[in-house]
Amino acid sequence: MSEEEAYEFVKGTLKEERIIPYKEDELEIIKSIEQCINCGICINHCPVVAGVGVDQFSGPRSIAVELSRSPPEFWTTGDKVYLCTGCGTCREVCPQSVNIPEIVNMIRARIFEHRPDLVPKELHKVLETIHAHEKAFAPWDDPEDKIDSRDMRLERLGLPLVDIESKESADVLFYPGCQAEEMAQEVKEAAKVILKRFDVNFAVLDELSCCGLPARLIGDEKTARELNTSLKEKIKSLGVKMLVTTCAGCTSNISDIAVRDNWDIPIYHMIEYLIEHIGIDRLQAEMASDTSATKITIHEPCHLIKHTSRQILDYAVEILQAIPNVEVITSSARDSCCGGGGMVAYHAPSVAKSVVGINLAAIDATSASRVVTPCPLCTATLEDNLYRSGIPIDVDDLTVFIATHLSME
Amino acid sequence: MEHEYDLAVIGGGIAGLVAGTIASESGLKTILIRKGRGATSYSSGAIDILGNLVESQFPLSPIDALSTTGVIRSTHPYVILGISENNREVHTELIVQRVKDSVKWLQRNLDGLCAEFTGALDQAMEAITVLGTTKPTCFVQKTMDMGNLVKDHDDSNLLFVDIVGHPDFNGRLAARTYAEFQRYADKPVKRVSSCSITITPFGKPYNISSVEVARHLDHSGLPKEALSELRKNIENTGATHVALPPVMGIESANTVLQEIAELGVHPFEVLSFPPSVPGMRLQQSLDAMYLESGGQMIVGHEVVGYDSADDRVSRIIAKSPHRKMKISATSTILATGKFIGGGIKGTESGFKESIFNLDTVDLNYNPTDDLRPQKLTDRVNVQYEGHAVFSVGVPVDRYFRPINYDSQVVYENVFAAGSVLAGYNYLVEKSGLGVGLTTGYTTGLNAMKYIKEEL
Repeated sequence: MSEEEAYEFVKGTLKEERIIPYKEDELEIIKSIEQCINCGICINHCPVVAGVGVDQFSGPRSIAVELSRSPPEFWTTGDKVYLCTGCGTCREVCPQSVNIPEIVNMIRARIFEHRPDLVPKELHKVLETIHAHEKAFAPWDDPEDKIDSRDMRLERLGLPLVDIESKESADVLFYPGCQAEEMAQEVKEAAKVILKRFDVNFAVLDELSCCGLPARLIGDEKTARELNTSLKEKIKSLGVKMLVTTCAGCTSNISDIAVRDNWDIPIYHMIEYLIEHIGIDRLQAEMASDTSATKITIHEPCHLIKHTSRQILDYAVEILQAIPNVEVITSSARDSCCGGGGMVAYHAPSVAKSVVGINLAAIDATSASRVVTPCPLCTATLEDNLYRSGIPIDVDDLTVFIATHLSME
Repeated sequence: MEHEYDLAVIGGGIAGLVAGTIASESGLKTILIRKGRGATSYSSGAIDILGNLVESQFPLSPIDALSTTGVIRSTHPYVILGISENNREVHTELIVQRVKDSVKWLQRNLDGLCAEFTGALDQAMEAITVLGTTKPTCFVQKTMDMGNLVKDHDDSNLLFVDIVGHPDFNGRLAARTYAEFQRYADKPVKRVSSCSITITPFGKPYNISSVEVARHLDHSGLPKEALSELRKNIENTGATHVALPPVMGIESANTVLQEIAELGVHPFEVLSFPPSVPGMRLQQSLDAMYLESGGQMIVGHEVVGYDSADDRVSRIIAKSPHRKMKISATSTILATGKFIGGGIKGTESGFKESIFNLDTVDLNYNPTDDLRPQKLTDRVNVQYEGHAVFSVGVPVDRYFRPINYDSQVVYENVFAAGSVLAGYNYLVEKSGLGVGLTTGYTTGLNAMKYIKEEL
């Protein structure tokens, strides 16, 4: 048998034994797991453990030292690993920087490949939508309804509709992400208002396609990578110099794949773009001074602060403090997660509800009348849960909050 | 974007947080960069100062031990504290004074926070652990105060209480071990017994983690059923003291213990191993202390590079999962810990400090740059001298600035504090948090002097 043949033969047996070889870009994650010293610090900080206890969700340590070790465990632990909200708190407190959120994605990918029957069925439904529309949310049946919904939202917020004249030779691609494209359209429009106010030469995609994060979180690595490639091609054909997004999940996921797949352009969240490219002075000069006094508290989106950088939260505070008549109050929530991450809310709503519960209590305990968060998913999740719990506190996406506080032109 | 500060502290354990607080409360613009949680988070609830000296063979009070250190070892961080400004000689009184100052300072700063502690430097304390063994220490969190269990009490009767389905503490086992020890004690506890109570954070009496119980008690207090179970057992055994697992709440442990005390006993928590609730209390309290002083903290960032010019570190580069941050600071404090924190790395080719690639030495300041870590371990696992590998770290000058093998200061604006330092074996000495506290306190002051050009 030649070496080539032997290689093919072994590859064949791998398939039979249901083993998926690791990809080159996964090796670093695999090595990080070997560093686990089993100390259990992560258990003390995991928001899912705080919400439901180690009996239902055995916690990050268990994922690192038990559930991730070999194929039979992969398959039999679907009920545990699909409960991780992927917030990244465990990685942040870990003395050895074990990359647990990514390990969870890798285990899910292996369950998905070999035992799709063990993947919660609600997630298969999301995948159907993604496959049909290249987006995590199904488009509106009637495009007119979508426009009506957008106009209603704009009217309520008192924001103008911004037309993009030309996207030829745009410097910046504004990428709203699925949620702001289909559901929270006010976030997309608010971002356009802000970019236009600062004379940014920007474009948006004619046909937005998903960044691939939901597919990756479900475990459908193949679809995720296809979406990554498709998005890369769209962006490359525009020839933009950078990408700006208002979505926390897109920020971390695109930052990740842009490095992995050599996109060669920087990725920014709107907050970073405003601070690093527009500058706090210019921003401050455009703020309305006649608004009424508001007390707000900030919710920290996991994908922005724990998966991208904590620095962005300091930027957010800097921006909010530059808005006249706004007082920022700190919430006592530690290691907070809105429960909307990791696709958990789709198949285990009771778990997601327990996770967000800790947050709601902390928000309620502040004297703030409004929660502001730089993520459309956190906004929607918090809004829904606060409403259901009868807590009369409004939630705004930070981009919308900034846009509505700009002075009239 | 470039971020400018007077002081950058690398590491968020006790040494870094104390140093940062000292600088920040005196008005310096301070940033603390933290990668993950280190050894401080593992705290058992005790702040050791100096439990025993390797050379002494018998237990000493922390003050006596500190006084002895100066005589027998010149490289111990405590001894460096005692070097006088005037004649550059070691003064025992100076060591004791500086330790006293920093302990007093921390006690004041943690006052009212959940890690508030109690104890005295001139008394050795034998705190009980979850295994029923004892450990020499100096200060413990207030909830762990054993009261008059072993002193001035003729007929103390100790009841170990565990929680059904909580695997981190077995009261019966602890009681048996502790009772065994009483045979050798000067003032033995008259009677030792155990019992279980039921606390079910999520409605089930099994597979319960410590932090769950603590959060549950914070949230809803001690369940009535648990209190009556406890009352019955106290009546049956005639207990005077009650030893509990250290999970009686993160913020509200004092209140819960107060409730138990009303049953006519002295309740206290025992020391535990990680993942510990007392460690969470300590870390949380130290974080709060630092933030209260006005310091800035950037969590989730690892220092991955630096620029230097003219024997000074001019800039450090910190990395988060997807971003990099450039930080320029007039002075930098290195408080990165040892092997758990990641400040010192041991590989097959030898030991290195992980950020500035500084030279490393052992207990007696002998070079360890090309020494395999195995050479500094002993085949006998448990022994009085411990493993030499735990005393490896960076050598420093009298201001705690890292020096190289030629005894030259490497960077005039970099100071080192905590377990990244060489010259002491915290495991056998029981001096971990004490050295972290005192060297953090002193380097904070030294960095301040440097920034104000008074050093």
